[in-house]
Amino acid sequence: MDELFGAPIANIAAVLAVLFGIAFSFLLFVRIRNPILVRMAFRNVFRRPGQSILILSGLMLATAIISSAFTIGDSVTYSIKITAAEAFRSMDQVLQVDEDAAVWEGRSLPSGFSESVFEELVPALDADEDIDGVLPALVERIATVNPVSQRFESSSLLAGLDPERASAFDELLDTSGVPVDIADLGDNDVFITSDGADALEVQPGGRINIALGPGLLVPVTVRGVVEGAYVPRQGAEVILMADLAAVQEMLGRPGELSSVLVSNRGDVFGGVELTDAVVARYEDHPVVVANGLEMDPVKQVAIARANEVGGIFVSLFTTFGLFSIGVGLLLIFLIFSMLAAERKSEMGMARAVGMQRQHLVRMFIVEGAIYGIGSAVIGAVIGVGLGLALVEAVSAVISEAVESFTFTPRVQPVSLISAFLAGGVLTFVTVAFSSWRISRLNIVRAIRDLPEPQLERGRRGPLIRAIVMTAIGVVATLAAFNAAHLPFFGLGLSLTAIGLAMVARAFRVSQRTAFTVVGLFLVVYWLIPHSVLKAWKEDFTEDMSGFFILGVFLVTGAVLVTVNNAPIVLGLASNTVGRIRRYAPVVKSAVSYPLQNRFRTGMSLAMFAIVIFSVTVMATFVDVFSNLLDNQERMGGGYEVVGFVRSDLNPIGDLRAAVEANPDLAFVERVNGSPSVGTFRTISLADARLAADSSGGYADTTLTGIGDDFVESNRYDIALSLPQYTGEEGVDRVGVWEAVRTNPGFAVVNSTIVPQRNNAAFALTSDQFTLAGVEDLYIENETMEPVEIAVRDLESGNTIDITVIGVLDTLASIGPVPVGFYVSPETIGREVNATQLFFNIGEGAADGTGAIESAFFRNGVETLNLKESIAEAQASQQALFNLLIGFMALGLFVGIAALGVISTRAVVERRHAIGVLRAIGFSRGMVQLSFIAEASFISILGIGLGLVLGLISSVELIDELRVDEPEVAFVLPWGKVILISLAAYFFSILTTILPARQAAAIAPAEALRYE
Amino acid sequence: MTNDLGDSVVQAREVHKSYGSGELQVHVLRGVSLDVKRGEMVAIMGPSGGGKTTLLNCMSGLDDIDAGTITIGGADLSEMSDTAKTRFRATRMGYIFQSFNLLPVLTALENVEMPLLVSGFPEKESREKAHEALSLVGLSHRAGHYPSEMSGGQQQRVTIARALVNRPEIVWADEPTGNLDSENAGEVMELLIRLNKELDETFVIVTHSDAVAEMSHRTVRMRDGLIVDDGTGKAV
Repeated sequence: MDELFGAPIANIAAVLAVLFGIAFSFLLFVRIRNPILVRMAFRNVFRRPGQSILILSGLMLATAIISSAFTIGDSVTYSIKITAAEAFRSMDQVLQVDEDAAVWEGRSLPSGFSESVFEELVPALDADEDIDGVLPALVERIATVNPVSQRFESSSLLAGLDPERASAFDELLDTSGVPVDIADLGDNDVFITSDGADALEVQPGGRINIALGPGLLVPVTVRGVVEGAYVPRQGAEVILMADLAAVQEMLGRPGELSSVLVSNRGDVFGGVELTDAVVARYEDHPVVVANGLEMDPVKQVAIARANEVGGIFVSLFTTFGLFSIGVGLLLIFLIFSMLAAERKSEMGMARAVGMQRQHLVRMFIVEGAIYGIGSAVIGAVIGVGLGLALVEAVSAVISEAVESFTFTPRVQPVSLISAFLAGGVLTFVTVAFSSWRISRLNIVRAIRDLPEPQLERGRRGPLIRAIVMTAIGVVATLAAFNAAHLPFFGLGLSLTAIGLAMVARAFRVSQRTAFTVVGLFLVVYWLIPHSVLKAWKEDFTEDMSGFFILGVFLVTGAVLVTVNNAPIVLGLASNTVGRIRRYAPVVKSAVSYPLQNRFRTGMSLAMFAIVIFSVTVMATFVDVFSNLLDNQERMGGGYEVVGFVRSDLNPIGDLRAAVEANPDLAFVERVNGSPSVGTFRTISLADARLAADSSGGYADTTLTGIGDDFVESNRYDIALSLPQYTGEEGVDRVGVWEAVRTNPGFAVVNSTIVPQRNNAAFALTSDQFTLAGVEDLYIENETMEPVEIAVRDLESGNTIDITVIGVLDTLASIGPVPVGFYVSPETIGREVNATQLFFNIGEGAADGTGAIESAFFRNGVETLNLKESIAEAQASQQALFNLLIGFMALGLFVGIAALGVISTRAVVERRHAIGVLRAIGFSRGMVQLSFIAEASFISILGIGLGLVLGLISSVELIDELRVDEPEVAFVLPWGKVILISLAAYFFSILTTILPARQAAAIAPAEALRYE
Repeated sequence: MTNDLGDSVVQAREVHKSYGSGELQVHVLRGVSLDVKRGEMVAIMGPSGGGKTTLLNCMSGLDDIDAGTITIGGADLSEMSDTAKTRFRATRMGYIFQSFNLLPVLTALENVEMPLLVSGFPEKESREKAHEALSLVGLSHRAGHYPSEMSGGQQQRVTIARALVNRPEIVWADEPTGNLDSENAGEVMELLIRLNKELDETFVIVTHSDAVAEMSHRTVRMRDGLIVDDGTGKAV
């Protein structure tokens, strides 16, 4: 993993190191100037070991989350890199036909080039200091059959390799580790990869057939089963390697090469470092240019992809860990505020004997830095363990997406250091802010431990801060309004409201009034359906940030209302649990204390509420999307089985006729007496550009000819179309498909290449053609205007002008259909073999995949059962999302640690009050119960707030979704939510039990003795 | 000052109490005996470290004794379990402390009703009795105020109301005027005397104040863990 959030990780580490260095220099400065402060700070840390351990465990969470995200990213990146390295071995680049070369403009793309071209290039390649080997090859996709085991593999590769040059590459080893050599093979001998041998059930010495066409079988002998291959597998299960000349003759392509494999100096990863130089050197080489070739940096691209995927995982986990990191920082702030409260009289004394305010700040910063560095070290290490556990769990998901993926745990030192530095710097900054805030005390009040007045007359500081906050809010609101960014607009508005409440406080409006009003405003604003705001300003857009901003301000609002309206909450508690006579005094004490300590209660409530909020929303969405995905009818367009034709050797002509003629396929549904099937004829070698943008370059795409059978039998929806096909009940899908069939040039496009108004996060970059350049075209629109596109069929060299009249349904677009344009066969203007077959096997019929594969065995058809594949996709997605939910729930540990810290502190703080309670009749059990009840009150209130707000937000967000996806239904994942809530509550109580027992053990006379 | 003294409410016999152990052990009470009669107002005086507060804590059941016996209203405290002692405190004793010791998060009314709730009184009845107790000390109008919103004198009056709300057999007061100015101290003492007279309530007051001692029926003097003068004129 080299990048995070678009910035090189080395740069991030460097910036963090500089910041950490500044912080550390400050500590050194204090050490030299005020050694007594450092001594005091150390002694304070070790004064209460139990409390210090609790503080460390709370502080380390932010670092642990960052560290685990880095570990996940590193492991994923490294694993994919290893997979890529195994696939490419020593090959770094491949010299092959360049589909975009000017020489092929208007001509059909050749399948290879002459060996003489290679001979012309050899002097340069051999003399190239960066290249240590070249290997001419002829690679062809074929089918293979084992006549003995009756195993058939439609997706196989036959690679002819120059034996004289193969030795320059990593040698091939057989399964016993013994080197084998292409030069030892006879004309009809091959080496087979071990996976391929397993698939065909063949042993060394066995004979298999290579299918080159109808009835055209070439028998070959397997001379060895080998690990790995000279060529990448490109999705093939079987790779056969043979002598180049023998393969040229077998395929009837003498003197032809499909590619030249190029190996750079250096090991499997080191060679890639030279790729840029090598590619640049041959980019303008006259032989390369004249013959329409390119030096394709295949391994570099694969490794870049690995880095990108790793970076996405880090971004994903860091982003979803943001709430936890945020509450971690809240905890640091809370802990330091409480430490200050505990030492208030000491601080007053210190100030009285001549210590400056800055000395107090320095002392607290040093103490915070000790905790910060300690917790960052522990957090970084724990995060690695956590990350490895998580990545083990996601490896199953990744292996679905990445071919031959093998998970290899890995942590780069730079990531570990970055996590440590990030955690340390975040803690330091929070501690510095907290220290500045808590050092503002009145000496006399501090010594006598009197409460600070709410607001002092004549102090301009609060007013200035309030005005600054309001101004920031107003500027942010206006900027976001102009940029039409809805989440930032809400953020600005919320800051403005909070700023105004602070202004009101500065003018002596009561805290309850000011903060209740702003709290209510925040709750109401953030619960306004976005459709209302978008109706007001149509071009408002949203992205992932909306979820986080919504969570922060909605919870802030609710917490402000709750903690500033103690009598109502107290009344509620008294009129419920407090009605039980036995518990009345306990409830009164348990509820009154937290509601009086608004700051710490508010912080703790916010910690619980925000995490439960995020987990609830996330869990709801996961289930909703899972249900949405579980719509076979929509994703499969009414078809149950999809067949992929893996070979051109025996093309299928009329699918309907073939099905009708085969009695074994009687289970295929009939519509009007005709089999309900569909055929796709896809050109994969195609590129496109907007017709209006003649200066723009072409980008890769696919062009699919849809057969009449498909038009007549498919039930694929159309998401967006021209006004004439759009009525009150949505798009007339039949009309659109019929228009495509009857109007050559008309096309439907896959929705994944149509821009979304609301940006999707965490997507891999792609060089595929998209409609992003079309003005005002968004998938969320009601209708669209026709879009003119120029598509080049690179196989024929033809340029085809098409007009997009519709966009395929979003769910169908992520199903088993090619990403590109769907047109009539007439539009393509030439014969294209069937590439994909669709079968409607009717209700109640058994799984027809086996029968269909058998029926189209000679055509090289592999089938996919949609129901099964949807279930597999759902399972993978669920696994990843559940992991994310678990990751988000980690933040609950912060809330739990906060309650532990608060309870421990409360025992010290309320020692005297405990004495009084015991004196007036509270038993030990009642004291213990009141502490536990207090923690319960905070955790239950926080969990409840988070749950209610999360559910309301989920309902609203799903209502929004329903505008585009009417089938979305609200499903509350009670199981997950209850489990997480109960676990959070249980652990909160667990951390409170020890302080509660300590409180109960206090002897009343002892407690009352010391004032 | 005269008062109609009844039977002994408190009987302490040969009470011993030490803190610490080994060389650091401090023998705070060295065999103290004391009787307090019903309706009596007794002041305990003496120099700091003489054992006044420890004696009060032991007699009131807040602290355990090492040897001797203490009976309150005929019940032997040393025979009681912690739970029984706690229940006994809740129902039959009241406490007034130097630093008021009101629960800062409860209003005056809530502070006063707390002992009743602890004793298991219904909420409505507790509230009514708490109101009565507050009006007895002249603070009905401050019922909804928090301690931080009241003066020291007012806070101490709330403490007195809390101590009396249960109509206990005895009220223990540890330096009840120690944190008050002379005017407020005078008012508080007048209140205690009035309640002593009107309610026939028994008070044991630990104090340094001669003024408080003068207003009491009897002054017990302690030094070095012993009663040197029990105010009855008998030799001790």
